[in-house]
Amino acid sequence: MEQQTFKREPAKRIFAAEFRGIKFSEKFSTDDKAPTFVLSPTGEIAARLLIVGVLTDKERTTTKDKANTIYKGRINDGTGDFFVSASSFQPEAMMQIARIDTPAIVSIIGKPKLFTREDGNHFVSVNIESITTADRETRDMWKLDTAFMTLSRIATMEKGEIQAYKNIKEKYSTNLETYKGMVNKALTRSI
Amino acid sequence: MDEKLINESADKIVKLFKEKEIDLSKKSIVDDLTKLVDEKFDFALPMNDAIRAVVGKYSRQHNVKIMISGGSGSGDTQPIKDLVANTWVTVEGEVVEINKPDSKKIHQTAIITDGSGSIRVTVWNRNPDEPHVTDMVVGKWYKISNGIVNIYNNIPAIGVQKTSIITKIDGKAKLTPTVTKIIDIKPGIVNLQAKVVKLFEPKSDKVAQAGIIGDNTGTIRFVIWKSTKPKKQLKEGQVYDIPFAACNLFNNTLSVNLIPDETKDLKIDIDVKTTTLSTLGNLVNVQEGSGIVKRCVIEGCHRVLNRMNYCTIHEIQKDYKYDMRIKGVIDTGYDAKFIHIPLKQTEELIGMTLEQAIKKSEHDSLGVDAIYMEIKNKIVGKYFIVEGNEMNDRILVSGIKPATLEDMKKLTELDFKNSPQSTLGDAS
Repeated sequence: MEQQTFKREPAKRIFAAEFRGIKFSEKFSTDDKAPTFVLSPTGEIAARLLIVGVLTDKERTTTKDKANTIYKGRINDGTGDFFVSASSFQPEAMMQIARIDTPAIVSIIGKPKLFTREDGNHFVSVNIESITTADRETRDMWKLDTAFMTLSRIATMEKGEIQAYKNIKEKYSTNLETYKGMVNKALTRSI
Repeated sequence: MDEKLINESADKIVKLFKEKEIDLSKKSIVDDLTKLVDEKFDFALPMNDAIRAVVGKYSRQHNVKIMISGGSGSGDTQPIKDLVANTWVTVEGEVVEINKPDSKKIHQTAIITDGSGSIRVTVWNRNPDEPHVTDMVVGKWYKISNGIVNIYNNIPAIGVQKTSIITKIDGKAKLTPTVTKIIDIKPGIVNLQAKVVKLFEPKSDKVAQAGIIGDNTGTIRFVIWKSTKPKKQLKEGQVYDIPFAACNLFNNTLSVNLIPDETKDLKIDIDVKTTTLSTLGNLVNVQEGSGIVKRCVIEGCHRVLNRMNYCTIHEIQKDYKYDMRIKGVIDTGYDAKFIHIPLKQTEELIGMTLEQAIKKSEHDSLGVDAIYMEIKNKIVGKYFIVEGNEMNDRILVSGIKPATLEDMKKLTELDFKNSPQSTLGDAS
């Protein structure tokens, strides 16, 4: 990999409650291989995600045309569920998820995908690149990490100095208080 | 196109015609030249061709014969380090390298140095009816009048055109090249005194060696192309005197092309300046080629052998040496950095020595892949604090340990709350 000079897309941190509200995606280059980025309501622009949460459910099924096997799963992060999947295009991820029993705390690195249904509704899921078992401490660290990133984005949006953030805020008519509440919920432990 | 160059060229043309007692308006010449060379218009000719076209046009109009030859520039000798792109220049210096490229269009390429700096010189071929150009020889001094500084592949070079003159200068002493510090490197020709900090495994068949060299001001990537047919191999940890290496800019990263046979081993050591950093991030990827590898045992090689024990340079090897390393990515959410974890740190991280890992792989039907998978499952998706030296977007890890919740609390200045009744209310 020494000659590798391309920039790897970092894995962004977004809570499930925010992720599920994603309605817009954008390609910043006309290159076929260029990644598609999803735009989140607080202004994250992500082509890759890091998620740590509880794999509550997994299902081995086939694609619509019945040609390929696909694993589907749900990851709960305390604010909501992420829908994740690993198809035969990600054989390693499939092998990894096959060996994990639910429920389990897992770390997922994957690519966000936005679909628009026939009725015009949006649906977001994550194509798994890697899924490994994790522990509670890692999950808590991810929550702090994601809370920090989300609060930074909210602060940037509130300042309103960066055009890209302004555009996204306009697209979603983001109510920032909702997302402050979401972060608060993520950081509150029920006793 | 540079207005200054057009102006200077127009002055030259006016002067040429003045010698034949013809007065031309400079403005019309500037207009003519601009039309031919400016990118805004369709022609975008090289300056030299534009001059020839304009001179041709006016000499036909006035029915005179004008030979375009040199000697009409300002003629002041400039230090090489001060040369500006797209200007007419005159330089004096010692020729330190001559090449005869395969191209029919090029007569000679040379590197000339004057104490202030060095630059490549391209002498274009001339037709038999055009003024003869002096052949340059290594070790002799020359004056190059009316050359033009072009930028090719981000590297400036003096083009010796039909209007340029090369004259030999006698009685000048040999120059000691001035050493450039790595931090000051710009695309062009540089002399370095540097230590080979790290050798990479070349991924391309065209590369003989690649790695990083450094001095007390910084580090830079280097490449040795097989096309230079190197006989010498550079060694890690050795300091070299590197004369006249070409530095270029590739994908926004500077790198120098070395010719190892021209380097001299120096019996000194250099403290290489590196940027040590400590990063808390998630290890989001472990790349293929991590885990147990076999290395070529030929002196100075150390390349990783493939499954058939094949070294890209030394072919099939009966003997090999085991090594273990991790090539991964540490991701802060803002930035993803490639990291290289060497043997000792890998052993500590996975809690297994190389010997133990080899033994384990021998008892597993998947062989070394079992170790690779085990490493992946153990560390991918977890948070670590990585310490190491950053060199060209890559961290050479000197220490790596799992990050704790306390570390994350400190970094984010956030903590969990225990009260279920929050004053901010609930999002859902």
